[in-house]
Amino acid sequence: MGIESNPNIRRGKITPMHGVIIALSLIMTVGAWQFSKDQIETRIKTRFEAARDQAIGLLQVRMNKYEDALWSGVSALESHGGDISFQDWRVFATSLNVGEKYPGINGVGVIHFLGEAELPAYLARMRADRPNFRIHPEHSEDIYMPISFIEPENLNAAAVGLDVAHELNRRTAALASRDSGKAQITGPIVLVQDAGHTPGFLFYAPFGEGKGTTGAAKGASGAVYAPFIVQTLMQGLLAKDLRTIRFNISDGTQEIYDEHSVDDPANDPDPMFSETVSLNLYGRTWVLDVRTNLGFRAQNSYSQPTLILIGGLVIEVLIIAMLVLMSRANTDAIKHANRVTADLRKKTVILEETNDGLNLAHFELEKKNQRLREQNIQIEADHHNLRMAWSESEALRTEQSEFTYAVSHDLKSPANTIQLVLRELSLEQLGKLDNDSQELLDAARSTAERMSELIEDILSYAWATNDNSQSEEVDMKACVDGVVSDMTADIETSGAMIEIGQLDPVYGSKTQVRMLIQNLIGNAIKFQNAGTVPRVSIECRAMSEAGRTADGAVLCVRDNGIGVASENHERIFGLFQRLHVRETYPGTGLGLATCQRIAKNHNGSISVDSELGKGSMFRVLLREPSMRMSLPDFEDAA
Amino acid sequence: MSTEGVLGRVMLIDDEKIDQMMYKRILVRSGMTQDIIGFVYAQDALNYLSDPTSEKIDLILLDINMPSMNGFEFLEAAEQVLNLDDGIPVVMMLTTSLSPDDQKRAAQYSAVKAYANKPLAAQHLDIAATIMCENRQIKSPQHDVQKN
Repeated sequence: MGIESNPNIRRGKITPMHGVIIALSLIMTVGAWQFSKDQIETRIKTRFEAARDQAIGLLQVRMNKYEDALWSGVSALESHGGDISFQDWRVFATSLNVGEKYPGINGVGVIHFLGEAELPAYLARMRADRPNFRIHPEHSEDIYMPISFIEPENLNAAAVGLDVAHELNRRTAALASRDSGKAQITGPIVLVQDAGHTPGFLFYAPFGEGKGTTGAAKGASGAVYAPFIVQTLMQGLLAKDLRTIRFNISDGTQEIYDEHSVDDPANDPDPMFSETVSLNLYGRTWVLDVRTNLGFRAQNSYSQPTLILIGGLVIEVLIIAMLVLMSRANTDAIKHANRVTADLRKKTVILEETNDGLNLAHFELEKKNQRLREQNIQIEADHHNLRMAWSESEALRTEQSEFTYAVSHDLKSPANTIQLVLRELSLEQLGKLDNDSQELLDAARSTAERMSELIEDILSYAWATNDNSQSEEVDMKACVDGVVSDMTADIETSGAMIEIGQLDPVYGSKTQVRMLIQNLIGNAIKFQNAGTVPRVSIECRAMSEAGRTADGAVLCVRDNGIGVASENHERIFGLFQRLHVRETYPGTGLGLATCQRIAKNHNGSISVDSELGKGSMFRVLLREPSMRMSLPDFEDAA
Repeated sequence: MSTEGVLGRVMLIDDEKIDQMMYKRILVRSGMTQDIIGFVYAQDALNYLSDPTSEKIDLILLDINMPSMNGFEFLEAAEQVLNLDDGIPVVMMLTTSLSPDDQKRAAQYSAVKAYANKPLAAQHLDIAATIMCENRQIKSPQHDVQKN
């Protein structure tokens, strides 16, 4: 009844509680995804900024270092008394070791700022060391700014004597440097010594009295300068392969450096981050367009939050599927329970009806049972009696057999004595007796002999009827050979031919089987018409019934003797039964009776197949001897 | 009275030759027989009795245990073949040991008048002689009963 009172369970549907569980787990999944995504994005952004700042910082540090180099040139110049000779500059520049220590710098030189009036003296001074020195190109400005020295000179030969005032960017920066007393760089120019004609600039550091003042130059003044090719500068800045960002640099409208080449294998056409940074650098404003490349993308994927989201959604689907399955199973179970309940109600009714019938039947059964119990007691009593009778019969049989044996055995010795006495008498009276007396004595002797034979045969029979020897596998071949060997005298006397056929082994008592064979072969030789050569064949074949293993064996002894008339086929196996007088065929009438006893001991039988005058065939079935008798077990049947 | 030849012609049926020899000696010594004829096979004896040309037999000494046809079987066959109801010949059964069963069985044959335990002795012959004399008187009442 509890099942029906709960509508939720009864319906077996998905409840709001299930919905809440699903919604909560969805929120958790999305939240985890969002959180992870934010974390990753922040981390990536930080990385980008670090990379950007590193690049820009390096650029600034490098420029500061160059500035220092230039100021050291200014110091050298001032330490030489405000101006410097060509040789001294060369010494200084060599000690500066530009090529080694300042990669990216093309050289370091000295520019003099001159008025019209100072030109002849200046040229004279220069030409004292270098007669071919000249200022070029010509221009219309009222100031001259020739490059006096530049080291290493061989790389910058084209720049020697160049008047930087001839061109606006060079001139503007030089004047700004002079006027401000600070280091300045020029806008984009193309260096005269750059065969590639790529963007470059000059870096000035002023010296002399004009420094920090406006107006015309007074006394020796000028700037220590260094020319730069932007590309060379950048190459030394930071190994491009190690960076995960690329940038280009513009000065005003002109681009002076560009890494955003589509030919770059690491180029990311859609960079994850890009930023434009303005950098104020020695009087110029450089605009850096910084972008991430594919290397950056590879190191900073969004796969983790995506995996979290996918995993979460998969779990979500599983939860929903599980809930659906559970609710379905629940529905089925409830349906089944309802069906079973209904069935049970019906059955209960039927059972109650049946119960009445059963009670009646039970009563009947009780009555029958009682009768059976009574019968059972009777059967048990019968069984007990039967057992007693059987034991008694067994005991009697044994006793009788033992008695027979004892009697025969005890008779044996007086019989022997009589034989001895008679033999003694006949020897003593040899030739002295008349014919009549001799005849009587002979009769007595032969009778005594017969008595001994009889006793011997009875002993054999008694022994066969009460044999407790163990069963064993009997080698029939050995058995038959033994018997034939024992009977050699009889066989030779009669000239009998014994044919030994197939001899399968038999399971049973060896001595009994041997006795059996001896009797049968003996009979076959004995019961012959005078003058006929006895032919005896013997064989023993294992017998199998319907494919089973050997269930026993059949021993056959066949002869060409006188045969047995059909009316005597049963009789010959009886005790003391003989068909002939002893004078014709001697014997006690116990041989075949003993054979039959032995066959029975082996759970078998003996029979003869014969016609008078046509020989005989004795057939003996032999099985493994079992217990003499087993009574059906009534205990269980009760 | 003289018992000379009182047993008349005697038939011996016994498979044991030596036993027959001994019977003959006893019979001859007693002088009660006129003639003795012996058979080792009952069948042969039956054939002899069936033969009308055979001499008439007065007494049969019949062994029970014999090969082929035993004493009872001989009686059985003789009843069929011969008319023994006239009391002649008288049959005396010879047994080694007279069991009650054998005795009962023998009593069914009217021809069997006496039993003798082996070995046969002279007194057995006296019994036979007495029975035979009584038999003759019943059959021929004109004769006086012989007294010992």
